[in-house]
Amino acid sequence: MSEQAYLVLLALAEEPRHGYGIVQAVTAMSDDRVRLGAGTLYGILDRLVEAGYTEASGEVVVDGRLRRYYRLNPDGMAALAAETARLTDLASLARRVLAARPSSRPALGSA
Amino acid sequence: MRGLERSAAFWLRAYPPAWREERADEVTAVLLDLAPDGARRLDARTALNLLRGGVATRWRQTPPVHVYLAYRMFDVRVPVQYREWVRQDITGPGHLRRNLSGRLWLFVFTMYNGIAAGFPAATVLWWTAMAVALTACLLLVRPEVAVRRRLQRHVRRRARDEPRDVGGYVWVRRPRERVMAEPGARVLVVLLAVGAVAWSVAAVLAPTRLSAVSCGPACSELVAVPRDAQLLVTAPLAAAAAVGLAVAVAVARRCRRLLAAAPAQPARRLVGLAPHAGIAVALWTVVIVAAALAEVTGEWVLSLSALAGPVCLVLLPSALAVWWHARTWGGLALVDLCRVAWTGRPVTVDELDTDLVRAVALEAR
Repeated sequence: MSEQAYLVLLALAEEPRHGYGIVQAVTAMSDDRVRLGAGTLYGILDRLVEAGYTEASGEVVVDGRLRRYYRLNPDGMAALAAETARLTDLASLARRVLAARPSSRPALGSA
Repeated sequence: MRGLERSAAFWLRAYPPAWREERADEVTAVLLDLAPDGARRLDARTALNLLRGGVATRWRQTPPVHVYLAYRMFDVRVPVQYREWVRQDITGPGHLRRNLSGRLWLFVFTMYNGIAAGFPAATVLWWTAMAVALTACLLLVRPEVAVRRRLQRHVRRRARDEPRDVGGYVWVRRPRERVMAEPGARVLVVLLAVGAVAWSVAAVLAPTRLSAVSCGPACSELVAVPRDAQLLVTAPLAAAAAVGLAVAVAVARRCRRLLAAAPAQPARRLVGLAPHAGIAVALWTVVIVAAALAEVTGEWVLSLSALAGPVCLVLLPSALAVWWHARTWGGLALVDLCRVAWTGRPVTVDELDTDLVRAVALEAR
């Protein structure tokens, strides 16, 4: 799962959101680091819907603009939990490796 | 804002039509929300992003090469995840061109021969005749029926674990459309009459015929020789006409006996001929007369007429009998008369046909 897809899942885990809402939530969660374009967003949404992780949950029209809401279903929640566990394991592994690294080890190739 | 919407619509064309149909409004709204105030068109980054997304979406929905070629060249059903792609391929604009171009490999050797021989006049003539005949065949078929049959073959659910709907489309039952007996039989009579007259005349008048001559021990070849005995042609033609009359009497008797007891057809809707059937009949007439003329003038050796003339003469009286009964008994389909005339079995009751319609349209019904 890409970082962008993970962030979209996180945004939908909070509450059902429409496309623009997802973009805003992802931007806020990533401190303005990840800015989803419409093409990327709908590529991710298509794949998530295909995988059965999310589904459209309703439509409203605001100022003549169609907003379709998406929500996470139990499969999506499970996938998010599994991915989070995987990332946590990875991070703790990284911490262990970095902690075990001797601090005064000379760099390779230096005299 | 209108300029921005137009720009969005332009770049959204990167996506497949069905995807656009479903999502364009929603994505346009997101694009308008994301665009800075006063923007008149999408910026390059957004446009590229849409282009990439559109290509990726098309790529995801398109079957791999081996599946594509098997479908396109041999009409093999594609796996279930590509049903939506097949539905678009069969119903989308240009479906006839795609369908026909997929069969072009059948003509590879013919085309190679033509090219290798430097397009001799005879080859060009043959291709023209074939193209006209093919066009005439296509004009006799209702386009929407051809599409429906292909959908039934490629998109219909065959197993229980396959999904019921195909990208927002569902299967419904609808009456079976059948061509009315009278206009259908009339076309049959016209074509057989043209064939019988043109080819019989050609068979009688053709100046040359095929003959097997010996070219040494255990060898013989077919060569064109001048016509000699006229009786060899006229006798079979007369016999064919006599047989045709006898068969027509039997066909008329079958029609009288079985058509009176034709069952009601609740699942049927009678339709007229295809919209361009008149043009198709005219084209067939041209092809038949041209082929007959080629033999009369000696351009071709007597061959097709010797066979097609008698065949038309055998069938024409029966076709006339069928046409006459079609006029007498209203409310019948051509298929009923053909079945009764050809097999002598009673008319069968049609079952309902199926059709793939948009789920939204179904709700509105």
